[in-house]
Amino acid sequence: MTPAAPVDELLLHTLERFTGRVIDRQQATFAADAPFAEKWRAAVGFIEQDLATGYPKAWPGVEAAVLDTPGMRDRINAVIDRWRSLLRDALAAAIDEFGLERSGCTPERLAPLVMRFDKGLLLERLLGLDRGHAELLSAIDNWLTSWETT
Amino acid sequence: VTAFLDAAERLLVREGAGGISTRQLAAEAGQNHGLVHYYFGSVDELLLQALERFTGRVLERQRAMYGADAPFIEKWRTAMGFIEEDLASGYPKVWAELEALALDRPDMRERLSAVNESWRSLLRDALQQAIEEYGLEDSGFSAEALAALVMQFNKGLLTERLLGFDRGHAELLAAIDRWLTSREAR
Repeated sequence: MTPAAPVDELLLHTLERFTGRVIDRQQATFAADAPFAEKWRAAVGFIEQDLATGYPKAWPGVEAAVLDTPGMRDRINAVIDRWRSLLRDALAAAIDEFGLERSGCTPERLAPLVMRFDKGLLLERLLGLDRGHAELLSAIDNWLTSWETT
Repeated sequence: VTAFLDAAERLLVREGAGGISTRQLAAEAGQNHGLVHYYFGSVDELLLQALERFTGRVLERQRAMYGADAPFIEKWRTAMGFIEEDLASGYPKVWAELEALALDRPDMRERLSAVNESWRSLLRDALQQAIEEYGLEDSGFSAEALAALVMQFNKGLLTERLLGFDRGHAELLAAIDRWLTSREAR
């Protein structure tokens, strides 16, 4: 497999370092001794901060570069995998807390759904789009609230 | 014009948007490079028109599929069955390439937004049918909210597949299919 060129290597390293910082923050959020709904709200509350830091722009930018450079894919896939594992663990706690074990919602199934909608919403925001975002986030929040009160 | 749009599509799929030049487009189309600016004004305009044309083809297929007189679950399964076809056609790559380009070119965003809006409206209408068919009006999730969710996860899964990553995809799609089946049985 073709090794990454020096500029590509720098881009990947920058993305990995950026990811490390954001994942550290998310890990601390989801590890807190608090109900899942609170952690979810804290995570959603980071949207504006993340948009301001540029992380949601850096990620698809490097992803697009990787689409044409197969030698870089393992590294970007490791970034995706780190996020997936973080979300899987956080969602496992939610499933336990809400007693959803028998619903068919496993953390491994929910993690790609949550990760992709979150990443997609951020990308759309960068492109100036927000159709349906508020409705979706509000519906999820209401759903979590309904489980908390069950 | 068609030769240039075809060439742009092929180059976007094969090499990405980053380094596409007027001369490269002309060589791929077998035309004089001056014609790119004559017909399109700029390379960006040609790339945008290539995405819009491609989107039109895929949307037409989806509209016909969702417009059929059939239960929603059948339409959903047909839509999921298109994943491999879409990956092979290069559409997800062309869209991802243009979106990445537009992040640094604000003047392209309005056109990307229009592509996005076309998809969102199609999905909203399709999901409205599902909401009515399964009696989900009181679920708290409107067709507009679900369209945002479904579109992002579907687009995201395709991007991940392009990267060679598919962790959790089969499990998620199977879980959605089972959930739809359970709604059908009620």
